[in-house]
Amino acid sequence: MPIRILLIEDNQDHAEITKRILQKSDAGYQVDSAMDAQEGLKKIFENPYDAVLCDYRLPGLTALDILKEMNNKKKDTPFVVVTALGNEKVAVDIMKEGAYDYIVKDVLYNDTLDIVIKKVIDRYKAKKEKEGLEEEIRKAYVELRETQDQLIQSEKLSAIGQLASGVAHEVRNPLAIIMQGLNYLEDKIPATEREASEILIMLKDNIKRADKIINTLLDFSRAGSLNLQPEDINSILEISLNLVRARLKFENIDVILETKEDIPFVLGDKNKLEQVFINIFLNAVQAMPKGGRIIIRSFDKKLEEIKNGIGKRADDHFQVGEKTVIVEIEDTGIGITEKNLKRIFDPFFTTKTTMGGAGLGLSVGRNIIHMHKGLIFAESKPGEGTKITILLKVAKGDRVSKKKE
Amino acid sequence: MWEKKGGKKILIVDDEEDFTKLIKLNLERTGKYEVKTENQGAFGFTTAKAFKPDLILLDILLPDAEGSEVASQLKDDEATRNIPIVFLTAIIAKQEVKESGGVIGGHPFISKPVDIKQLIEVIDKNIS
Repeated sequence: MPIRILLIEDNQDHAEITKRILQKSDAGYQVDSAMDAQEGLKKIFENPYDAVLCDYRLPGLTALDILKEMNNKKKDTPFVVVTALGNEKVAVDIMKEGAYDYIVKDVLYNDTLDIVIKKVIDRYKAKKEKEGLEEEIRKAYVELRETQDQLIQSEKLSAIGQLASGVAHEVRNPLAIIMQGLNYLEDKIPATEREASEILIMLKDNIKRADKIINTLLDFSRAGSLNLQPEDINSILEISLNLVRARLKFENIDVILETKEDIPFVLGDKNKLEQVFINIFLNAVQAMPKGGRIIIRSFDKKLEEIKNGIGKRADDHFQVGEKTVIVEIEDTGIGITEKNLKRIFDPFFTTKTTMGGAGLGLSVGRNIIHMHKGLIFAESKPGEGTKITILLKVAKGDRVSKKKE
Repeated sequence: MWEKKGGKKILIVDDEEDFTKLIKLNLERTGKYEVKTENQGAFGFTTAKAFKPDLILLDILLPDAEGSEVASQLKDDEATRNIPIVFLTAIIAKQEVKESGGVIGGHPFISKPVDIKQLIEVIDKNIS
């Protein structure tokens, strides 16, 4: 492969001399030339030159302007500026702007030109190699981080699975004994002892409360198998919404439903998805103690941007270019601090200790979405609200969501 | 004592002694049942064979023998084959109860903790 050089020089005699010098070199240069900055720039952007040799002073513009334009458009080609003798200030300026080197038109021009060009091409290659390596390291690092996160997550889940069964056994058996003890006392306490009877009821309620936590924990640890079917996401959203509508009304929360018609069916487990949505709705309710608004959107989109879980690797849940159905649930609540946002999908993380939350809702939700090979994200601004975004797989076939008559 | 001979015979096999003791008390004082308790899974089968209960309440997770083992021993013997079994379990999730339709390995089950009224309902429903 010949080395392609672009020579930008308005003086034809000088251009001819430079060409001759270059052609004498053993490097096998193929020299292309431009007479002014405009032509030079056009050629730089259209051709893959190995180096550009540019006279500093050109009609109208200078080599500095060309460099600036190249920088603006992020065009990196080894750029050498030819300056007149004694113009060191210019040399400093162009080097600052990212020129690879400069060469002074003097008696040594003949001998040094070839060396300077070879040097800058080598430097360019070394730089590209370094950038390539850096990019590889960066990618490897990102992959490592993601794998590590997944590993931690799955380790956590397996630990929780074992823990859940253990805790269930060790807690429910005493609860069962207490329950039988209360059943026994129920008959021993005469109906006239109202206070004692009330206390018994209270104790039983508290057994149920503890049992409920164990239940959630067990449900969480075995999200079980999914029954995946092509489903209309809009109808699942509506069903879920209907189940909490009374609560929303009571809490003075308006619902804005912006579901898109004709979006493809998703591959989903209806019941499990309902569980996820209801949980998000109830979280939103709790984030809006003074009322507010829940905005629910559904739409389909072709994924273009690479981010967590969307990429080109086989283990990414979504591939760039894939079509997906997206659900967004946004509230106008108190929001979540950046610190807490990182942890909201962690098992047992809760800020609602006084409300008896086990801190499992969202982490169960994430489990369910991950089992769907989908993704779930949260964004939040304290004081403004929170947005949960869910990406789901499109079902095969061409069924789309229709507006209900 | 509340024990009245002649009621339905119930055998409860569970390693939690306090639990079996209270279940016995609560069931027997209704006057409808005669209850025998067995706290060792390994003896579940022999006790059943000797006692000839009308129904067996069988803990699934026993330290010395799985409830399912006891159930298969019972099934393999002519004398105990037809005794209805109701499993007791502490480690089943609500979701699993829903999905299983209340049956494990062909037998109904009850999730602990259980209220005595509910237990009696299940017993009466399954007793032959």
